[in-house]
Amino acid sequence: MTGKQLEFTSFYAAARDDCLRIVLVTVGNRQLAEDLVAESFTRAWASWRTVRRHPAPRAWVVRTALNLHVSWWRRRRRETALDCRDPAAPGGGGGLDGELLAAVRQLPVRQQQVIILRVFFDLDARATAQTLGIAPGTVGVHLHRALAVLRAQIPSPASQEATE
Amino acid sequence: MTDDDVLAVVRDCLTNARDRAAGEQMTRPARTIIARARRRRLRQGLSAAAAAAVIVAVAAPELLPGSQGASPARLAAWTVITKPGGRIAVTIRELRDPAGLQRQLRADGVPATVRFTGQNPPPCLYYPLLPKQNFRLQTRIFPQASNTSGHTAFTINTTAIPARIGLWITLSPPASRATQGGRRSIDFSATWTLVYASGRCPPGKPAQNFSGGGVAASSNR
Repeated sequence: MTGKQLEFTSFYAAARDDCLRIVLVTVGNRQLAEDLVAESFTRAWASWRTVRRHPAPRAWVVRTALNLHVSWWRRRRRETALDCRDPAAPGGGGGLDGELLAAVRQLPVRQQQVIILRVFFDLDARATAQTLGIAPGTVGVHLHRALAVLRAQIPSPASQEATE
Repeated sequence: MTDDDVLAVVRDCLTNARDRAAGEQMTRPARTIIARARRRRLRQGLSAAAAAAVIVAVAAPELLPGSQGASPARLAAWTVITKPGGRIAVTIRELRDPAGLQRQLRADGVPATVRFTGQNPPPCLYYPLLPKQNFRLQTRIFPQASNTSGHTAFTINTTAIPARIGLWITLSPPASRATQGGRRSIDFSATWTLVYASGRCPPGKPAQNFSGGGVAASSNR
């Protein structure tokens, strides 16, 4: 095994499960998530020279998986209208978490990516922009819009008191 | 709620969901991923090679109008005449049907690849020779060449072609120029390069005996 393969293999071993879980949370389908992550790692290996120098290689893999998910979804929607949600996938467990998770999954892809990179990889606007290939200002706009949508799913303290 | 507050709630929600999926693991080993990438790269390489081959095959007849069905009233676009002593006389009048010319030359024992300028170059490797050696060898292989008004002609001495060498012959499109009397003449030019006769380039020189006074045969196109 070459040095390049060893390096990739150790990266894969360390990052694969984490990436799988993040993608699974985002797409809500276990088998699909594994396929997307496997394809992302395949592309990571094909572009390993670039990916290994990336400031956040795991974020690169997750971003690629989410992009692939969009492509998959576009193909899929022409083929079938069935709901492919996996009942075994981690849901929000009902209540606030369930609604919030559903809202995250329904965000436009860029907003979704910005949220995922911020939450799971703690990337700042600059690093997120580098990972997504967009301007830092655009990251701020996407984040703000995403949070505005998600805010609507969170009951305000006043409404919570009223229900109690 | 500020954006930071919302983000904190979303963060809790998503990390909880990820923690609930803690038992999920990728089942595919790294070698499967690497093998998949390799297969894909190989497939892409083969597709590119096939596409290039198709482009060359399609370009040959299409880039050259009138390469098929020449009128009997017209002079042949090119003529190949085998002569005694393994010599092949080639005359080019029109740049039509390079594939046919290549086929004819190969049939006559010349390991040639013929291209017109503008076509994709053949996948040939230059045969490494010192300039002086190259000049001497080319002079032996192509003992005669002339470029008179309206056509270009050259002779190939097949007995002078070493076994591992192929000929990459490029025919340039005619350049129109004015002559005395106001008429315009058309001049072709042919250039040749020595390449390895291997792989997809000209096949190795076939074992063919040109010595002795064989009957001269001609092929016109």
